[in-house]
Amino acid sequence: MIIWLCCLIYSVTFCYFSGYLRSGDPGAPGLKFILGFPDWAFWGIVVPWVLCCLLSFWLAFRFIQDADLGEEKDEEAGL
Amino acid sequence: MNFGALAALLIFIAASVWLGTLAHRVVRRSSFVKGYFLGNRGLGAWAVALTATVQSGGTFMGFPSLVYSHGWIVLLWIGSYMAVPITGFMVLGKRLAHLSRQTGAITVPDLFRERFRSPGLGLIASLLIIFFMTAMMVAQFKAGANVMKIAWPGTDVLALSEENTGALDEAYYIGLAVFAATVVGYTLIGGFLAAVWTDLFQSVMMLLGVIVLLALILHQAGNPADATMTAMQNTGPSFAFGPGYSPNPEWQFLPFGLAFSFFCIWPFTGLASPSGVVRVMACKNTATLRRSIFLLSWYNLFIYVPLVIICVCGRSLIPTLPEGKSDEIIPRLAMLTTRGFWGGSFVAGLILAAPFGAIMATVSSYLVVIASGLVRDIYQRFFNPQASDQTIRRLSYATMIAVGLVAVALNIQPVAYLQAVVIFSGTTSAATLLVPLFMACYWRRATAAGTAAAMLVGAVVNIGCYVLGWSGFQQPIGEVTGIRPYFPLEVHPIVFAVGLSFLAGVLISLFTRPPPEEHVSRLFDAN
Repeated sequence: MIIWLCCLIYSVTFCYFSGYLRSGDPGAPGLKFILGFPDWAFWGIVVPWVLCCLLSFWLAFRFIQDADLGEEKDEEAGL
Repeated sequence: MNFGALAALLIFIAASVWLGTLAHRVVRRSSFVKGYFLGNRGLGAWAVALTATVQSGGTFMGFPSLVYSHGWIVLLWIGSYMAVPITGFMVLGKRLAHLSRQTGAITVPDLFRERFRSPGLGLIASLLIIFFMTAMMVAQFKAGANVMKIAWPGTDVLALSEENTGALDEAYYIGLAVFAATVVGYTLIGGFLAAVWTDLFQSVMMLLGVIVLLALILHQAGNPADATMTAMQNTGPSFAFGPGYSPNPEWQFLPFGLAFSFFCIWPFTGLASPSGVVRVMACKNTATLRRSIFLLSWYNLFIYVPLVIICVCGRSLIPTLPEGKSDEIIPRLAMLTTRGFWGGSFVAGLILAAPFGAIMATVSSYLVVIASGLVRDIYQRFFNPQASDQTIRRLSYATMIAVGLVAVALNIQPVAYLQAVVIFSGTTSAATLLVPLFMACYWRRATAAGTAAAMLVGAVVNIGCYVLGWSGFQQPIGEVTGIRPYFPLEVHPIVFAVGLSFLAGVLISLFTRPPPEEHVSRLFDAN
């Protein structure tokens, strides 16, 4: 659960920074591109996105424990 | 004449229907209800990952329309998708799958009913779910019809001239009919599994479609950096920055507060969507869930980021579009970039299979949820608990057809901005279900009354703000569309809806009688 909160805060902060970068630049001069993306978009969104994917690899294959989901209750009995 | 595109779409449709019939055989294996509405809990990782998402017509028609209209900032608008699989599956996934097995729940209202031993709660959940899912689904029908319209031979869509409108409209209605018949057809035959398997097939096609279109467009528009510069000639410098370009200088697309709230929206709506929840309930085991997180993260990355690139470049290739037509940018780009080489129109059709597939996937999933809501949660629970499999089956078929007809009827005069309806439906879904799902999964002290309060407060606040917005309390931010909410403090109402829902849920639970200990213990404590 805490992980989720961390993820959310971390991602929101990232975009805070990219936002900060962008709102300081209202005019066309200074528009730089990295791999075709505007620089703020690259650092603020693309990079964290890839990082999240890598994180998901770690989460999926190392971190999360498998749990027995339990027996299925007979649904007829519930009616 | 571009028959190729239509041919590709028809093949795509045929494949989907075939998958539907395959699903039908699996349904017969156990009780009708469990098979038809939950696929006997046999979903593997690919199925859960690629279908539990909010991929829809919105992804390929609405979202691109926003990128085309407003520029690079939309990447931020959609940015929180990077965290969606992680938060979605991790936070609620395991617990939901577990809880649904313990309670034998097949649908989301089932889950609430059994968890809290309250038929009333189940009913409230059913009604709310049916409401917002129908809204979403109706909008999808329009999108589906539009794709067919554009693919239809003889309508030279790229001409954009007035005299074409007659033929275009006709194609739209044909498209609507074909689309409706197909989707309702295969969903009806195969139920939940049909929806899931076709979703899966369609998701793969979507990825392919996006990649092909990306390649074509980079070939034609060149470097995205150059394309952005060209696009800015038509729009303005704000195309490459926040808050995004708007034709009306008074209006701001994504001021910071709104950006923040959208960043919260996607993970929340992803968590709490009934069709997503149902898939989690249907998964085979926790290994499936884990792998889904991984698969979905990459999948999202490869769908959304290329789409932004495509549409930004698209703006340089198609400098302007008439009002309300920007929803069609992806199909138009598909047709444009494939013009002129042999087999081009077939390739265009394949690309169009992407939005088309997304739309079909959403509609089929939602049809299943709505039908299950009406048939199981309302009819079977309240009117006829002894109903035979035969009766349930017939009723389910009838319901789906009826819902399909309603959707078609409502699309004779279609809605202007698809994405706005998608967001309305998604946020209402989240406002209604997010806190209740958390309470059901993690809070022992939660009571039926508290959960009901949380649902109702969330729904009312979100819908209320939309009603306010619709009746004229407009602010010059966000999308330019009739379906928009009032943004309290320039933030999307969902934030307040969820907050108030939480307060209501907690307070009312504490003020009402605690649930019987042995019931809660059975669901919370390990055996």
